[in-house]
Amino acid sequence: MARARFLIIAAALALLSPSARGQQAQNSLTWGFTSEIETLDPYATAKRTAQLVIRNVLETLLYRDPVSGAAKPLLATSWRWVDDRTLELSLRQGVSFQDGQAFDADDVVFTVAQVKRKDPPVAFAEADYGYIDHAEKVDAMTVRLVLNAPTPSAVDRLTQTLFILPHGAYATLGPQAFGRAPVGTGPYRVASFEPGRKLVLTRNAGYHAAEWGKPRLDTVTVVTIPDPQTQVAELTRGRVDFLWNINPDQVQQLQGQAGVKTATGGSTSVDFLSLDAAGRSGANPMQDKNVRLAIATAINRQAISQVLQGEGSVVIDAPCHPKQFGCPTEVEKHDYNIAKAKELMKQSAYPNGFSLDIGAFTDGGPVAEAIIGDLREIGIKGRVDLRETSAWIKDFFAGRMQASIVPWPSSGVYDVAAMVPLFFMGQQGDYTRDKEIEAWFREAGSIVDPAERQRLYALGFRKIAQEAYVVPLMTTVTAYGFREGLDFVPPADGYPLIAMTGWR
Amino acid sequence: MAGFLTRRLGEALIVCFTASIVAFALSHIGDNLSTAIGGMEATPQELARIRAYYGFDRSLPAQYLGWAGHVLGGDLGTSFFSHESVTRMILDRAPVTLALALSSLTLALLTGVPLGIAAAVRPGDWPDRLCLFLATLGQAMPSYWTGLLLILVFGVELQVLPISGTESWLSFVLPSVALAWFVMPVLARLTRAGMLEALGADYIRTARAKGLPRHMIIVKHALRNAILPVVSVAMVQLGYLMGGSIVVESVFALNGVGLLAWNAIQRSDYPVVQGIVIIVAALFVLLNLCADLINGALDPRLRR
Repeated sequence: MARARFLIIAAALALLSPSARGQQAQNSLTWGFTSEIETLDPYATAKRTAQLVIRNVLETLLYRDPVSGAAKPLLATSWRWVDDRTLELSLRQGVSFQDGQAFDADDVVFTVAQVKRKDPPVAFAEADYGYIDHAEKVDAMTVRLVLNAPTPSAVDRLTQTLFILPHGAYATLGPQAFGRAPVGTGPYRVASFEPGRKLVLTRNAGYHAAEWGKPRLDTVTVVTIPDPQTQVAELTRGRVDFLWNINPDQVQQLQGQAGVKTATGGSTSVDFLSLDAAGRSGANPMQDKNVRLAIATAINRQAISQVLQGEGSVVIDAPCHPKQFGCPTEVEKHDYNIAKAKELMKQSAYPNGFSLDIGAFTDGGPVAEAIIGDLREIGIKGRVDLRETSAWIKDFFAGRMQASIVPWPSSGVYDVAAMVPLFFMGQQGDYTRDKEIEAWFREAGSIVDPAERQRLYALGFRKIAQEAYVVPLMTTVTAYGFREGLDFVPPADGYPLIAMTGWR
Repeated sequence: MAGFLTRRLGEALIVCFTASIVAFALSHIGDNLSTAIGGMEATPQELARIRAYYGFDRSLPAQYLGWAGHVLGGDLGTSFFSHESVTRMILDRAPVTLALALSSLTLALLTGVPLGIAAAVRPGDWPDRLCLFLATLGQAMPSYWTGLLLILVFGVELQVLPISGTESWLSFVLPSVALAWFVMPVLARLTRAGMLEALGADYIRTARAKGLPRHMIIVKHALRNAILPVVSVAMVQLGYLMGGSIVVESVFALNGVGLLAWNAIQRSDYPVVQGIVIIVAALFVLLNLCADLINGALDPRLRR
């Protein structure tokens, strides 16, 4: 009797939970998101992850084809270089913002003025928009971006950043109100938004005919679920349909579960081990080339890549992503060889080894642990200096770390120009301070001839490898978990546009 | 009573003041605020601009006085990232945390107190052993672990209860059980100890000699005296539940103050962290004050 009563209650409670099948019938999708989305204003949030959701509401001038990776027209239909520093874009006719305002060149000029504003500070201002000086209106549907210096990667950058704001609505609402209820030209409009809990997007019926097609789902609900185990449980029982950027443990747990699929796709992110060859943190063993070569040879990068990243990750020999323009494949390789590493240590000024702190934050912790295990073999006693992210940023970029794990996404840009200035051109992340490399990279960043740029970048990366200034580790992958029946293809850059997805 | 109240209020204000200094100092001492806002790619010039915009370039005492002045005026500041009022952010999320804390405490009291009474009435017998077993188990298992087990059994296997979000009251069942399971043992042990002491007292023997029914002796005479420390501890536990349910809120994706604090700490959104610390500290002080007043009402000797 008691058991029967329990079963009745259980069945009644189960009816209260929406099922995955119900979601498919309603043509809706629930996206489980790890981090809280505080605002939908792309220029107020310092989170790339939030921009992943925002790009369904606000659009960029160009978009990246998820398979080929090529830049394609979105709010701009064509573009041409007027000179090395001026990019002219023709804008799409007949596009309206969700409040009815027609999209034109004034919106692009307004948006550029916004990203160049000083107060309140714009997130990623220098990294994403530092190359732009200003925008000029040529006519109602033509605009020119005037750059600070020749920037061949500008076209690719425009697929990832510069979300176009409606000049009327944004000026009236202000960043805070706009962050709660943004008005864009995108495939979805915001139906409701409760920060930290739920965001509901509904299909924008008036969406223009973009090259990639029309949004397939009627409703997309984004819910915040911080705990990885709860995410797995919710996907397994069908209350969540899609998870982005899950970790290898979650992939393992989900594989073989009924009704669930996993997929692994690319990204533009790489991990490398920074070494203080320039002695910025004070005199230290990293200034000895033999020590750096010994470290590079003692690390079993293949094993670390397989265990900590999983399928799809590859070991790299230059500290850049092989997909990026300018990232060479032909550089000196430092294959795993403990005997050779021991020999190099003997030849160094530190034959008896030394102690070394390896800085890291968040996911870098396990990578640092694995490296420390390898370095023990050659007499280096390592310790993980795991920091809270902003504490790591402060000390690493102030030149206070002898060694550190650096995970670098290059802002999703398919060009090494998105990362070399920070790490190899005398800026705050440069622990090499090599004038020759800096000169090559500076020249490569200031010209537009692709062949010459390739040659100069290759020269720089070859010297980085020869000197073992850093130890390139591996590419990182983006893994996804989703319900069976969802027609989802992982994009090459790891940043999916959910509007392209639908139920089969 | 007025003197007692004034003394306690004075102490409460000192605690709040100290908590405000600690909260402020801990978040500013590392000087990581500008890097937290600017992100990895921020240049030194950008960082300088951020420091100037948010006033981080002023001296720490000047920054503290500015912040404390606003707090006294009821303004806890603005989030670095969402640019929303911290007061509003906390108020938006407080109902979830309050509902979770109250339901957990009620559940813990409803199970812990009867369990403690049963254990004390028959010391050494099976209710006592059961009480000890449950108390040890409850305290040995972190709420995080209990939460995951509950998710596995009721969410994944049986699929009878929601495991994330705050869609309905059902969403609070599992997190409340996870938290109550951790809080209950303290209440059960205290009730047991208090009841054992009370049941051995002379006035209970007198009550028995007068032929009063057993349930009257236990509930009306013994429990009234035994419950005093339980009230104090329950109040402290409520404070703990209001401020310390971070992990459980994270596991069950409950959008409460705990989760807000967790996110804010991870992102170095210090106005939010400071706001929560000061509110939780004030709440703790208030609950302790309530406990003192209730105990004072129950036992006149404490008012002196």
